[in-house]
Amino acid sequence: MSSNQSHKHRDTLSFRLPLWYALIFTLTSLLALSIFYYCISQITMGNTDDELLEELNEIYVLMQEGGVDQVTVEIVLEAESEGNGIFYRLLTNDGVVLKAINMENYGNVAVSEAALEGLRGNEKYVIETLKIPEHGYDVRVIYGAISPTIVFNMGLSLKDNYKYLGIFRNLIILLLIPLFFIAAFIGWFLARHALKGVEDVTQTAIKISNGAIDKRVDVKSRFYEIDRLANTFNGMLDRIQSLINGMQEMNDNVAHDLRSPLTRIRGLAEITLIGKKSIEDYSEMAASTIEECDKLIAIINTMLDITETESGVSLFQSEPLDIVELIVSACELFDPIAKEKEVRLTTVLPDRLIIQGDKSKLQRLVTNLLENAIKYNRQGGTVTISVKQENQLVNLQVEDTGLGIPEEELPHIFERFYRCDRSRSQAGIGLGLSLAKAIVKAFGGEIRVQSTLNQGSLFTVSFLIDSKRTLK
Amino acid sequence: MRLLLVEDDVKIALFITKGLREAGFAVDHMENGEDGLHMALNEPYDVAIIDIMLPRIDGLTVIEKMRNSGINIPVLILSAKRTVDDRVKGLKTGGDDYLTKPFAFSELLARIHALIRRSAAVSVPTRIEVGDLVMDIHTRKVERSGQQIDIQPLEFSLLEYLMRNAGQVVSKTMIMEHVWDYNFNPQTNVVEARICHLRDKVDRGFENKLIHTIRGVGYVLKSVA
Repeated sequence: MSSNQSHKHRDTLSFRLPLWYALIFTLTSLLALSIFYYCISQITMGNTDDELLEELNEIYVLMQEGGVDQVTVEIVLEAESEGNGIFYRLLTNDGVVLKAINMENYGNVAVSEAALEGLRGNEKYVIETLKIPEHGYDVRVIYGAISPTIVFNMGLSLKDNYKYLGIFRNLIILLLIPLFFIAAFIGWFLARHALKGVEDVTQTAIKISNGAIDKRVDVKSRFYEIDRLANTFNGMLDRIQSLINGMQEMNDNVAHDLRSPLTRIRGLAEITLIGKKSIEDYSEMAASTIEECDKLIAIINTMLDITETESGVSLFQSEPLDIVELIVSACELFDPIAKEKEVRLTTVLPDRLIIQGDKSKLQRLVTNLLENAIKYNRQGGTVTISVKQENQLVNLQVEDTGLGIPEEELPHIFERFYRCDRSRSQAGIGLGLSLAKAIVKAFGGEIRVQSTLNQGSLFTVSFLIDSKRTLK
Repeated sequence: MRLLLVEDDVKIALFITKGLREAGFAVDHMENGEDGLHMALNEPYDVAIIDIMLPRIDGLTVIEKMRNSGINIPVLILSAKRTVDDRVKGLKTGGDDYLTKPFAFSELLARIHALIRRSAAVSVPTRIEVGDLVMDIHTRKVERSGQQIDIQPLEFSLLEYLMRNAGQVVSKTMIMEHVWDYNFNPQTNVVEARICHLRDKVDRGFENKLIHTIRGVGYVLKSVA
């Protein structure tokens, strides 16, 4: 993972995930094996106790059949065959030792008064574990009455048990070490597999940073999460690329629209300078330069306005304003222009309609729509501007009886610098509808257009009366 | 009237200086914030034009230091930044008006006159006379050579604005802003159409024309005679 080399290795997920995995796996195994070990040790102790009880029963039966002598013979024989792992004692019920076999191996351990007490209190037998330093191992001891006066006492060394459990313990420890490494390996494998997708995304991002904007991450269905990451990442890239393409296209358009006035300024200045010209020619050049510059400034400012409107709704002032009054004053403003073109301006308006909004932006919206409706109308045509409220919705409509917009151009008319073939000859900068759309969007509303060629167009703007809420 | 201009772009400063001198101002031009501040603190000016992006000390700091030193002359901020935020910041710092580049010189001049008028607290006259044209603001009546002119409310506002700025060129943008309260210019020339109608009423039949068009720049109302 070349991209991780700049990081300390222990900071990487591919190092930490397997480590944690191995640690948790090993600890869990240790716990499970410990429980298992405890159970085994309990079972072996139970076996020892069973053995002791069985011996006690045997001796008891022998005592009933053959008396003390028979018992003595039996235990001597037993002791010989069993060796050091066992001791026997015969006691009176007061604790006096009658017979002791193999006791020297067990440090002549004293008789337990508590056990005898227990027997006198009608216990059938008492089992306890003794620690005998001389022997080195714990000893399991049984006391049991075999006649009203004689107590049988037997000890069984737990040496074999301990050996058996010891082997088991070592086995567990030996098992845990490779288990840790196996777990670490599995963890590493899983982490690498999972992180491979992340790494693919990273590598693609690096390639894109280096300029290969058309690169995408392969989606080859590893894990759902990784696929989702890859898909989201690719989707984001598609969106960015389309934005960049859009910007490039717009740049071309901007360059074209800026170049035309510049060409005119430069051309006129040049021919004015060449050859003898009168003062009127120079005045003409200066005036024409100002006019062309104003066009350039208008283009730049409108573009900035669109960007500002699209990016920041928060910059909007929201004040209560009467949209009817605003429309009436816009109509008054355009009245002379309409008369010049012999276009009739009609309005269908309520007495007043107070909405929340930014006055300046709304003025621009209404003006832009009205301006287009007059500009692209035919002589003697009509422009109808109407506004009505339906519940919380405000519908503003501007209808003209003009050229109309061809169907194939309808989807593009709100794009920046887009100009229909028919409008190309007209003065204008092709940004009016883009700005109108940006404003409507910023108000949380929507703008629609219906158009029939050679009959006219109808622009409808719908927004909520309270512009803080958005439509849809 | 002494005017301080602090602007680092020499070519812009050159045309502003030239225009203002022609308009009757004594102009001192400084190219950086440090010199500008020094002059502002030591010389008695009537008005200052200050750019925001300046070498050494930026324009906003210059204004702030001037205000802190008790210099209360009106200040017009010139800036290439045109967002609402920048405007608000400039005006909060102590600027009295804000003009973005590129600008029309006529607008700069009009704004400076307005600033001086405001600071001198000149009372607005209710009766304005330009040549033989007389306007009474209260009765809303307009007369030329004693003959009353029938005028619509919108035309009245437009004429009032032209008469108040008599002798000065006002641009279409200024008219849109002051007469119609629109802070932008529609693409179609709505002002031109309006001026045409007004000219019809004011100048028709008179030898001495009052409303003049300065092509590319704007309009001026003045009595040549």
